[in-house]
Amino acid sequence: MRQMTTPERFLVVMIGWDHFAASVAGELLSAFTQNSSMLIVVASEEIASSIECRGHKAVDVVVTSYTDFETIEERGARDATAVVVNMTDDREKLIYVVNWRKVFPNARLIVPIDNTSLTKTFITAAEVLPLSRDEVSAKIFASYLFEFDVATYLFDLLTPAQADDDYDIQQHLLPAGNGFCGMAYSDVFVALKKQYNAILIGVSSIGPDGEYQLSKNPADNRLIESNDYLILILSGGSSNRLNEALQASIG
Amino acid sequence: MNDQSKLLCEFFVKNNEKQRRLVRRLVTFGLSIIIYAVLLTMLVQLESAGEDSNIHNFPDAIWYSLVTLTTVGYGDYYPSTPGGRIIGYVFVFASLGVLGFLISKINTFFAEMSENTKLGYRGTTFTGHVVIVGWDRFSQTVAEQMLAAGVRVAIITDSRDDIDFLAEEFDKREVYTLFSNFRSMEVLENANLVEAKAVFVNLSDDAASLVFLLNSIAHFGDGLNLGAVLDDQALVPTFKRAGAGIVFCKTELSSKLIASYVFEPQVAIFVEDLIASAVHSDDFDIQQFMVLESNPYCGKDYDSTFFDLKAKFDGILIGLVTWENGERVILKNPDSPELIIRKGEYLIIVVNGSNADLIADEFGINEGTHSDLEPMTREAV
Repeated sequence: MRQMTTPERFLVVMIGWDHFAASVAGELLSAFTQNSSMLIVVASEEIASSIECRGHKAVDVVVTSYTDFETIEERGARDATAVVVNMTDDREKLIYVVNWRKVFPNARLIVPIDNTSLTKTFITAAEVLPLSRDEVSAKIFASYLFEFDVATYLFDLLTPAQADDDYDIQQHLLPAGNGFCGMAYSDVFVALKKQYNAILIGVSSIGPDGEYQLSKNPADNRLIESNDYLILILSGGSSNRLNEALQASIG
Repeated sequence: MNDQSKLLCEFFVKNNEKQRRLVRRLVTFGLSIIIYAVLLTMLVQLESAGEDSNIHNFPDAIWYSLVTLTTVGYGDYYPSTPGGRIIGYVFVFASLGVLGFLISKINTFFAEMSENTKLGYRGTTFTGHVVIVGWDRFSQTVAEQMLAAGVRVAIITDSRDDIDFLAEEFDKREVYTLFSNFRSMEVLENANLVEAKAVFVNLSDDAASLVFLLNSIAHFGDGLNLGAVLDDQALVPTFKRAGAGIVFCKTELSSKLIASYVFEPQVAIFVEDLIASAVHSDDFDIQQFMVLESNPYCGKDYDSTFFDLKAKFDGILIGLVTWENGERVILKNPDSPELIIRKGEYLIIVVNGSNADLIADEFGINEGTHSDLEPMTREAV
């Protein structure tokens, strides 16, 4: 997982702080680029002082009430790329995201939840991306028990790539005029493997509702279009070469 | 009083109670035999003197008593004297008690059998299964993943409510449940930990899991493939030193995935699907298949296998597991045209719910690790 999207400013807002939030922040910071920053909102100075990454130059900690949207907005929350809501219980999170949505209708909300049966409620109430903390861990752990190598591979794919030979799953946006546009999926699959040693595993394209829709390993005759995201397994080195080629195609 | 003294006290109290129960049963049985013998003797004495009597000796009296006590009542022997008839009344009334006693004993026997089966005290014949020690939502997700992958599961819990829930929720041909505290290793033998593929320890707190881990190694030896998921990341090295092969912190993986959602949501959605076992045809999963000698790709080069698997099965080959200097190595998407696939290695493939079975049929082996068939070196491959 390497930060591939490069908007002018990449801001992640973390609401609430605990051991889990610290773990998420650690993952994010390890993949941050120069234009990235993180706003951490906590309710007390005591919690703020426990934040180990507070001194990081990309981290801004604000102590205020979670519902003090005015202060949060002053720190740039309206333009946040993503908001991770991490409070103590699911009920509190649900109420909060509904209120948040009223003030910031366009923010991408990510909510780690404890109770998986609330998944649909979260999606319906506030169009958030709910993710069960334990479910993900349990599924990978189950994989470790009977498919050790698969689990190891997946774990590595989830870990941010540090070196050029580390493997990662990435999404690459296809700019207009790129050589892959208009080609069949199967031809792009072969070309990417042969030219970049990249494995194409899916495509995400804009659907009728204007949202990106993911197609996992679609049919061979599916046409690749500009502004599609290619979902690839590739090394850091391959990623750089592919990026250069895609950028050159824009020029 | 220290723990050892408490255990000794418990042991003696339990043993005394057992002995008292046995003595009570023996005394009751002995008294019943004596009363029965006295009644038979009196019956023979009284009936021998009767003119129309047909009970003349002990065998006649025993036959009469048995036919009466079991309520069969053939009527071939019967008392004719007033004294004999009084003893006959005793047998007739006693027959009601005997029948009730027999019925209740039979009922109790079957109820105990059923209860022991439900609680798991009759053991399991499962081998190559996964044992889950401790039950909660996390364990349930692990169990569901196992079952989706065709692996049978033994679940050990100390809650009677869990046993009832598990009996309703799962097929007993796939899930064996055992009711036990986590200290009685003799009871835990019922779950056949020794022949299990893996033992997953998930107790209410990390310290309890560690105690179980150490006790199970002490009892069953270090051949168990033990795994644990912890709340506290700092304890991971302790568990590894204690003998657990697979240990990680619950928050570690989900925090990685959330970070992925922040940066690349489409990737995270795909990864979340890949993590789960493929059940429906549109579910995706990563599986590993051991290469047998009969596998059509055994001896072929990796690159042509990559394109052939995609063309024939729509499977995406993403890696190869092999051994280098005795170490297990995953070659992720290797880019070496001369790489040849050999017997004993594993192919790691992205499959969906419909092509997974086709690939398994073609390869002649189910997905998953087969440690019993593995070579330990690349030279041996």
